[in-house]
Amino acid sequence: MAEPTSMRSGHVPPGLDTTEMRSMSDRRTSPPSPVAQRAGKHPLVTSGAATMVVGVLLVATSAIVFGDAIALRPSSEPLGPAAFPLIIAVLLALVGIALVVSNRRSALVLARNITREGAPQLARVLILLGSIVVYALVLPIAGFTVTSALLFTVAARLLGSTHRWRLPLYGIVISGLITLLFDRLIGLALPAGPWGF
Amino acid sequence: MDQLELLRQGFEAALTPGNLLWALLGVTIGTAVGVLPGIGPALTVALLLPITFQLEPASALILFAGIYYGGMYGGSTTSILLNTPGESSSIVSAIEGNKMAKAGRGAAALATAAVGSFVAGTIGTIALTFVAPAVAQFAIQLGPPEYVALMVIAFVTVSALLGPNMIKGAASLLIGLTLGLVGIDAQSGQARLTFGSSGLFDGIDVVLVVVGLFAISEALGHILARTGQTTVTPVKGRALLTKEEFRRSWPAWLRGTALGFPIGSLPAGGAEIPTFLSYAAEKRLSKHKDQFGHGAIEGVAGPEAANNAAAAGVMVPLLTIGLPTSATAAVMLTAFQSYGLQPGPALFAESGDLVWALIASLYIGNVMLLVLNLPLVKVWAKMLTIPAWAIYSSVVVFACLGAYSAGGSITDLYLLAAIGGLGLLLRLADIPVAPAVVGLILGPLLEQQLRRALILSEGDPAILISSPFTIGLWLVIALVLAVPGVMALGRRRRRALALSNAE
Amino acid sequence: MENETPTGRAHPWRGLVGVSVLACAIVAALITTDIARSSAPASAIQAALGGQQLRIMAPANPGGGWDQTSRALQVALGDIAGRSEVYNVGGAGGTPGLAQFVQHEGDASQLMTTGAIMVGAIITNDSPFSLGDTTLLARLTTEYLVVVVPASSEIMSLADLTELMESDVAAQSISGGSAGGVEQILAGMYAQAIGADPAEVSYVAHSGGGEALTTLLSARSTAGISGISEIAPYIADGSVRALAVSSPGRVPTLPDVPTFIEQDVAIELQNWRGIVAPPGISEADRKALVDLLTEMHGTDQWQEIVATRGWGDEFLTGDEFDEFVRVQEQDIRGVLEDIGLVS
Repeated sequence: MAEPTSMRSGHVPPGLDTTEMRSMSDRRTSPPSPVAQRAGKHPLVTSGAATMVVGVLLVATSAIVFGDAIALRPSSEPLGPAAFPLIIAVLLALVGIALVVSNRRSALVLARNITREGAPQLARVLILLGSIVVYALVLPIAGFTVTSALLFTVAARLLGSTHRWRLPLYGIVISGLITLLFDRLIGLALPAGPWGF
Repeated sequence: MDQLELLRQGFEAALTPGNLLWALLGVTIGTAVGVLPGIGPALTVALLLPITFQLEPASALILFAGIYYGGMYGGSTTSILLNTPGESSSIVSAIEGNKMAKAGRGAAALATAAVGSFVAGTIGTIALTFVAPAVAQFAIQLGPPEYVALMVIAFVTVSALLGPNMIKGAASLLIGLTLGLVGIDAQSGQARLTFGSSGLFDGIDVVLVVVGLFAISEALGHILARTGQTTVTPVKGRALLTKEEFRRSWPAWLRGTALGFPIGSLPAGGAEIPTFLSYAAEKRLSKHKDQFGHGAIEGVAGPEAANNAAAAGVMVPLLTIGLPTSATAAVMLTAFQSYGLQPGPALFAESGDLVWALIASLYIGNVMLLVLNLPLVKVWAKMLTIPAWAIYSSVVVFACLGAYSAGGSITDLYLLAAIGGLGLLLRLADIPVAPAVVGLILGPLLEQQLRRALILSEGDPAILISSPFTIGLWLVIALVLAVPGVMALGRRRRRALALSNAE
Repeated sequence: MENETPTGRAHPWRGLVGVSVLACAIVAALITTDIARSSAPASAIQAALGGQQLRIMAPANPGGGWDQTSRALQVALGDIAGRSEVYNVGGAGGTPGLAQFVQHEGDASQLMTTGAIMVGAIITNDSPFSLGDTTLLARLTTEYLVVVVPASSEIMSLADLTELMESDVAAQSISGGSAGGVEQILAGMYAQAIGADPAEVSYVAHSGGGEALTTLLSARSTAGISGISEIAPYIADGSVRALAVSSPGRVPTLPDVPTFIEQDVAIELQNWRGIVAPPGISEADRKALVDLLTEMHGTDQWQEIVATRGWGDEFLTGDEFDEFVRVQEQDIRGVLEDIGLVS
C-alpha cells in the first residue's frame, strides 16, 4: 500500500508538502480508497480531485433536474410531480458546492502537476466502457456467444492478463455454457448470429 | 394445534421422494443463479414457468420456493467475496463482508451468512406458519400515512450507511434519489428526466444500478489500479467461525430476524429495507463500533438474517392478499395464477393442501440449503485464489447478460456502462456507493406514499399523524434523532464535570 | 504459441489442449441443438416464424392482467406452435414495452399483449409510438370494472356515493391502477355523468390492482375501482362492498351487483386485451399469425383458462378489430382531456 505521505518520485509538487497533505485529509477517515491509493502517486490528491469532479457533476445534475421539474405540467394534487425533484435539485446544488469548495485545492494541484503516469490505465478503463457500448451494438448482429467471448477476451487483456490465444477459448467456454444453459435448456432467447448461436 | 395438523399433512405431501428431488433441484439452481451477478431468482423462475407447467402444481411450487430461498442464500456469496452483489438485498452484506474477505476471513463471513440465513429462514417460516393470518390482518390496516412514517424511519436510520464522511454519504444518497426520479411519474403520468427516451419510461432498474455501481466499477477499479494479477488470501485460520465470532453473530442473527420478518410482511415492505435497518441497528449496538467499515462480523450476520427472514415475510402478503412485494414474489404470483389459484383470502380455504405443502417445503429447503452451503463455503473461498483478471472479466460478461436479459433492451447496456463509470469515479473520490442504492429504493417509495396520503386528505398534513400507529412511529423517529444528541450532551457534561473536578 | 506466462503450471500446453477440447465440444453442442431446433415441420406458421421460437412480450410486471394473458397464450399455443418465451418489460402502462417492441420491425416471431390501458397510457405519457405503429392481430378478452367501498364504509349504494360526489368531488378519493388507465377513465366518466367536474376527482394511482387494494382495505380512500376478476374474492368474503359494475348488463360472476345504467348513471366501459405483431410484417405472415390465434382461440385449453379467470370471451380480428381500436383511441382521448390528464 502506498503511504500517502511518501513522495517517492522525489519532486514534491509545489504547494503540497506533507503537512498540507495531512491537513487536506479528513481526520476522522481512514486513508483514501484503495483504488485511489493505487491509481496515482498522490492518492489524496487524486481522491480530492475526483471528489471535486463529483461535486461539479452534482451541480450540473441539479440544473438538469431543476429544468426538467419546472417544465412539468402542474396537477391538481396537493404535492405535484415537481415537488420532490425541486427539493432534490436544491440539495444536489448544496452538496455539490460543498464538495467543490472543500476539494478545489486538490484539483488545482493535480491540474498544475498533470503527468502522463496514469494515462494508460485511464485509457484502458475507457476502452472497457467503450467495449460494452460496442458489445451492445454488435450483439444483435453477431449473436450472444461470439460477442460475449470477445468481450471476455478484451476485458481480460485490459485487466492485465498476459495470456493471448487461451483467452478467446476461455471466452467461448464461458459464453457457450451460458448459451447452452439459458438459451437451449431454459428457453431465454439470447440473440443469435447468422450461424445460429 | 389446527395449524400443526395441517403442517403435518403439508410435510407428508412435500416429503415424497419426487418432491424432495424438486426441492433439491430448486435450491441448487437458486444458489447458482444467486451467485451470478445480475441474474436473479426472479428471472430464473420466470424462465422456468412454462417448463414446469407439465408438473404437478405442488412440485412446481416446491421447485420455485427452493429457487427463491436458494437465491437469497447465494446472493451473499459474490457480494462478500468479490464485492459484486447481484441484487439489492445483498448490498449491505458487501460493506462489511468484503472487508472481512480481504482480511482473510471470507470463510467466516460466508459461514455467518449461511447459518444466519438458516436461523432467520427457519424462524421466519415458523412465523409464516403460525402468525401469517394475524400479521396480514394487521398489515392490511396500514395505509399511505403509516408507510410515510415507516419510510422516514428508514431514511433516518440509514445514516449509518453513509460512512465516516457525511457530506460524501449525502452526495451518494442524492445520486440515488436523482436516479429514482427517472421515469413516468405514477400519479400524474408525466415523464421525468427521460429526455424523450422511452427506454427510460419505466425508470432505471435497481439491479442495473447495483451491478453497475458494484460489479462493473470493481472491474474498472482493478484495471485502474493494475491489480489484475493479484489474488486475495482466501482463508486465515482453520475454524469456519471462531468462538468469538459465533458469540458476536448470534444476537445479530436474532435481531436481523426480528426486523426482517415483520417488515418483509408489510404490503410495502420488501427485502431491502430490513437489511438497511439491521445494519444501522448492529452498528449502534455493537461493542466493536470501530470495526464497522473494516469488517465487523455483526454487519454481515444481521443484514443476511434480515434478508432471509424478509424472504419468508414476503410470502405473507403474497399468499394472503396476492400482493407481490419483490420481483421473485411477482413471478411466484404468476405461477400460482397459471395453476388457476388466486392468492387471497380464499386461498387457504380452497387450496389449503397446496399452500401447506409449499410452507413445508420452505422448511425442507432451508435445511437443504444449510447442508449444501456450509461445505461449499470453503469451495467458494477458493474462488479467491483465481487471479482477479479471470474473475472480473467473467463478471463483466455476466453483468452484461443480466442487464440485457432483464428486459431484452440495448439501452440497458449503455446505462450499465455509464453507471459503471460513475461507480469508478465515486470509488476514486472515496464516496460510498451503497447509499446510492438506498436512495434509489427508498426515494420513490417515500414520494409515492406521501403524495398518496396528501391526495387522500386533500392536502392536510394532519393525516400523517392520524392513527395511533403513525404517532408511535413518529415518536420512534424523534427518539432515533434525539438519542445521539442527548448522549453527546451527557458525555460533554461529564467531561466538563471531570475537568472542573480535576481543577 | 507465444508469450504464455508460466503461471506456476508445469505443463502450460496441457491446460491449453484441455480448454481447446472443451471449447470445441461446446461449439459442437451449440450447432447440434441449433440444427435440431430449426428442422421443425414446415407450415405457414413455421414459415412466418422463420425457424425462431415465438417470443411474447408482456408489457407489464409479472402478476398483472397482461402477464396473465401472455402466459395463458403461451400455454394454449404450446400444442400448436411449440415452445415460446414470455418476457416482461414493466411499467408505465406498457409504453416502454411498446417502444421496445416496434424495434422488431418485420419480425413475425415477436408478439406483444396490449389493451385499453396501453391506449390510455400512450396518450397520457405522450408516447412517441402508438398502436398504429404495430400490426394489429386480434382482441382476445374483455373485462368489466367494478366500483367498491371498504366494508366499514357508510356508503351503502351508488346513490350514496353519488350524493357525496355531488356535494364535494375533491373530498372523495378513489383508488385504482396506473394514471390514465381504465380505472381512472371510469372515475372521470362517472364524475362527468353525475354533473361533477372530472378534473377535480382525487384519483390515487397505484402500480397495480394488488397495491390499490391495500390502500382501499386500509379504509383511507372513499372508494376503489378494479377489474372484476381481481377483486371478486374480496367481494365474496365481505372485505369490500360492490356498488356498481361498468357492463351493459349484469355479469355472471357478480349477479347481485347492479350496473351503472340500472342506477341511472348512463356509462359503460370495458377493459380489453389483445395481441399485436411488429410493424412491417408481410401480409402472408399477418394472415398466418391471425390464423394461429384463431386456432388457439378454439382450443379447449384456452376456453378453460378464460372461464376460470372470469374473462369475457370476445375474440375479434381483421378490419373490425382495426376499427375497434380506432374508436377506442378517440373515446379514451376524449375522457382523458376532460379529466385534465391531457391538454
